Amino acid sequence: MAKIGLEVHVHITSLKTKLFCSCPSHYAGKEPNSVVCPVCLGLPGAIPVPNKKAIEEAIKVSLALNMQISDKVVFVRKHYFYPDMAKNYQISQYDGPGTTPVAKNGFIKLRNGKTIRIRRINIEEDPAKIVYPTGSLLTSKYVWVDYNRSGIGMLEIVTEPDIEDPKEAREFLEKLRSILEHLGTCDCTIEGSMRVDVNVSVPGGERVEVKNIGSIKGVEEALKYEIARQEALISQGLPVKRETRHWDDVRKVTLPSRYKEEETDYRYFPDPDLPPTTITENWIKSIASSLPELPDARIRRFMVQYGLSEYDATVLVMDKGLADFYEDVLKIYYKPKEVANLLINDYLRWINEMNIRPSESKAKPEYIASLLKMMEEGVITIKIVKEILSDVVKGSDPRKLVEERGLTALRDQEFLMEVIKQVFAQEPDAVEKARRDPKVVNYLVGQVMRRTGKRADPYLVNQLVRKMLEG
Amino acid sequence: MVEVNEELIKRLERLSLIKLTPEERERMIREVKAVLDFFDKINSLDLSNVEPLFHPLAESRSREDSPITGLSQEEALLNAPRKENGFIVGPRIYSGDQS
Repeated sequence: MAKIGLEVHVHITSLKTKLFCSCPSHYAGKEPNSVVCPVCLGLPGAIPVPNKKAIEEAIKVSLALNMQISDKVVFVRKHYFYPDMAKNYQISQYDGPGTTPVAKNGFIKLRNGKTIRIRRINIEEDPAKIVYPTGSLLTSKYVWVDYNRSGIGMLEIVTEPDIEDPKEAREFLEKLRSILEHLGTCDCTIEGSMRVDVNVSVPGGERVEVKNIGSIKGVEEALKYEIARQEALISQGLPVKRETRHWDDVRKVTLPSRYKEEETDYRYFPDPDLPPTTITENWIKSIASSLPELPDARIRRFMVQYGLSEYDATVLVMDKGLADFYEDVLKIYYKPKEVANLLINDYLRWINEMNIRPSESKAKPEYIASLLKMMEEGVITIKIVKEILSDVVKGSDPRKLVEERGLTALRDQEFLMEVIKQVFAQEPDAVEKARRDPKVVNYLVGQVMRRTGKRADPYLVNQLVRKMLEG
Repeated sequence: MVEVNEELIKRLERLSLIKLTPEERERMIREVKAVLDFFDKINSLDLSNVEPLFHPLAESRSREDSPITGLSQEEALLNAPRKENGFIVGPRIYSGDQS
């Protein structure tokens, strides 16, 4: 069994400005180095001033993760040399003399009731973005640096090593993401807004850190790879040494980094430019009273209000975009179980196939409502619903699709009997067998469905085929 | 107390990304020793009744979350020794084994 701890870095995307300067924090699509000022460029003499809303967001997240919140916010300098940090230190937080993280000792509960403890939350600034113009991290002869991202407010959320396998890591991260999205702190669909470092060890080996994984799926893949690599070494009697590695998302492997472990010494000390900010009880109370409905409460409400199973409610709520979409469909078409079934069993499959998040789907709530309504009215069959769903996810109006492609259900008995007669004529053996074995009836029904482009009402066809067999 | 020797100075060189000559290293050993001796003097005072003070100011200013336009790209790049396509050019990062 592996021992896994996570360090999750999330952008506080609800902020309009950076953490320590008034530069706009929305830099997507902007020219490189065009959303900067002396503070985030790290020019000598520039003085950082903390963003009050960033501290409030950190307190919100701390409350939602059941943390003990510090009575003050203290920032430290974390020193290292890397082109992404012009002043040679990152402003962060630390648990040490004279300093403390904004919050400690929280937890998230997984579906099976297991508790994953959260050690601490730090508020910190993001470094600049590095681009590799002549290859990858490994091969590029030099780098390009873009300071637009430098100084963006982030939270670093660190767990205890309570996670035991890659699937648990995935569930933890999905729940954390859902909590952050319900709070509105982080819109995790924005590229690069959630990055994860993992610490993983297997029995008999040292702890290995894999840095900078950009997606939840990537974390699961990197952990699977790393556990297999470490277990293979141990089974050959080789040591797993303590080291830092990087995840290569293209080749799907982890690779060693250049720094030797003994040289990692960040020389933390309280940043003299940033005196502490006091967090009063009243401040915490007023933030607590304005917290929105969080995933656990929403799951319970879905079970009580809509009569969903715990499993279905959890699948919907683990993705805020999907849960919101579900409730939007219900506003138009109030059949909670039917809508949940279609979204969970079929809709989600197409979303996953297209490798997008539910909030990125082009389907409108009205579309799902009209699909189910057309099925309820007998205009289309369930097979057609499933078939056109992939186009609906891409933004097509199902009413138009049904009209244009002539997908309405066939219920004309005379016509269906003609088709059944043709099938009987061509499948004499199957007809013989079907008289003795009811399972073969389904085969005949299937043949009729195929000839009608799945438009025949399967229930009606079944009745007619049985009548033919008896008669 | 930390022993100030050549090994420590070499470690500090690595952490600070600088290179010293053997003569400079000798001088550093003397100077770092002097600094640490001075701190030792401070440590000899009984300050058990005094709260450590990390900042001369008790409370930070904070800032509302409203954006202000900063520097233009042209201004931002004025002092960069090398630039390309609006980026600042920096050294290569990875020098580990390329297996």
